Amino acid sequence: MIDAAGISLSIRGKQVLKPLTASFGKSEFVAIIGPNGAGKSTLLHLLSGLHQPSAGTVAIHGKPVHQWPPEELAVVRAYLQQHHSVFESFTVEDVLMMGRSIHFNYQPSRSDQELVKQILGELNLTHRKDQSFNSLSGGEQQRVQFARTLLQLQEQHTASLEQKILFLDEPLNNLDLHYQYNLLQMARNKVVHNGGLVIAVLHDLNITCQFADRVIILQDGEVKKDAPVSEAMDADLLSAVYNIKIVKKEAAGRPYFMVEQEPVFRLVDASELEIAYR
Amino acid sequence: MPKKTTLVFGVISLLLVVAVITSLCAGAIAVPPKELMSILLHNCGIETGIPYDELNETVLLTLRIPRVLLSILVGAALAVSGVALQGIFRNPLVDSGLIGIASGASFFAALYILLGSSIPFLVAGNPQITLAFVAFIGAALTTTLVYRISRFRQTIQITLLILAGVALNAIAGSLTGLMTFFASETELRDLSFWTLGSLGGATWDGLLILTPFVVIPFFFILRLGNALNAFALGEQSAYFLGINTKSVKLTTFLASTAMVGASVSFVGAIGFVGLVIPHILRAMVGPNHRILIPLSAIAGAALVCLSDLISRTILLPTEVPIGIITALFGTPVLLVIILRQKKQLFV
Repeated sequence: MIDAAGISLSIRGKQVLKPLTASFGKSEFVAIIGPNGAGKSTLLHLLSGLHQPSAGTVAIHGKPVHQWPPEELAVVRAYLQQHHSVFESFTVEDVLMMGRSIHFNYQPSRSDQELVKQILGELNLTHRKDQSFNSLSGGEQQRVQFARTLLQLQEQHTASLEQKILFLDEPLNNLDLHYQYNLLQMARNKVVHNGGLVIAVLHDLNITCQFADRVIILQDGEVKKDAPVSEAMDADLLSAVYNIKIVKKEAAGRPYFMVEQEPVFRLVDASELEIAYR
Repeated sequence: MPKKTTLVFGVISLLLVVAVITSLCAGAIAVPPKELMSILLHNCGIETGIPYDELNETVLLTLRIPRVLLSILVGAALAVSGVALQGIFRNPLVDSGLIGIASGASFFAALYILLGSSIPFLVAGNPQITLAFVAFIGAALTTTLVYRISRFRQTIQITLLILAGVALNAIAGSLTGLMTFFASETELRDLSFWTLGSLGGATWDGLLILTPFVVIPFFFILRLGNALNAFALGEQSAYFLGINTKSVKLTTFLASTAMVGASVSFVGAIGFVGLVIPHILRAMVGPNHRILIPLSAIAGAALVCLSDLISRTILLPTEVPIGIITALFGTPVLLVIILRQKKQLFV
């Protein structure tokens, strides 16, 4: 669905993303991980068409992304951003309906309203429907914006999301444990299982292991690994990339990662103190 | 459309009708409503048989009707441009007067009046159309400048926006002021016209020129309702939702500055209309631009019509500049908006 050929990005002479070639197909959940400032969001911006690469091309469904008219691209691609601020007192329902706006001309149809109602129920937000978006907590805002991106991709009469692409930029921001799982579960069930593609920037290694099919590890704008999850999630590689000792363990037949480091705050014994103050 | 919205539409339209009729009747020479009806119908070819004063007919036809129509055009222009620019800037403080757009237009207009005779270039061969066009360029330049200055990391910074407005207002205002002292009385009107506005110069010819400058941009903005709603989520989100953000911004800038610029060249800078109307309407019908834009046009027309009525009747026989009246309405609303933003500023 997406073909990135030799894309790179330089800002004021500094290369923030080194040349990268990758293809993304249907029914795939791709996680992009890496330390802060590694270029994860930048990569998402380039793949989604928000910014143009300095070199190379991104093609969605075979057509270069900047040749797509925005209104046609919006039918096949949705994007959940990191930060949300809404001007004025638009309600939760208004914001969700904006996700449907490419599917109707002037007034939302009955089926648009049905879809909004349904997703409000699935996210346990029905009681917030008429509240102003800005009055919600950070986690609730995140869930509403996620629902909006799902509504944007949803076609009127079919659950199939074949040909559709969902970008999630740090989708778990502000979410409690329950909703972190709930949100990614929904992304898998609704998008990946219905033939769509999800590309998500994630931070939690264990969540990545659990939900991703494929992992791209970035460091300093460079791809360190692009491989199926079982191969990519290597403790030595991750330790090097994150510059902290990470070990792989196993429980109930599933791998998990933890940071192995000397505790920072340890009890100091009296003799050491004495030396220090002497 | 929800019932409440329909009701607000009805009430505000009624307010406009009342404002128009009162404005036509009241003034230094009072025209009784009966005579007003008779004169209007007579000029439409219907005789009512109600006798009327010839002087009243002249006053109505040459002075008052053009003036009321001008107030409607200018009011609609200021309010609609306010609502559209606020949508793009994503901030309720954006008003053509507050952020320097009107001063920019005034400055360019004054400059053209002073130097125009030495520039052999005319738009459509008509000096007044050229003047409106030049004022539009002044307005467009200031808008672009304010936008560039206040944009930082993809968002508009309120503090930068207001400070840029203060600076541009000051520089354009002082330059315009300087010119009014250089120029002779007949060339350029006095400073209070440019800074506080007046509808005293209304003529049928002027109306004919101003109408397309207001009506055509209005229909362009009317079509942007959904796009401006998407802009409420942020410019990038609007792009991801399928909005051609560059074209929406360009259309909004061109359309609103054409309306404001042309209006300023006819009536000077009338402040606060673009601030007050959208704010009150949002409180009544919510933030949906598809409803706000047409409603702003009606409400803005009513406000300027009423303000003009007050400005020319409150201290008969003198006229108070209309900007003083709109500022009296406007500043309390401005304070309310500032207090509401206080919360967001200090998060």
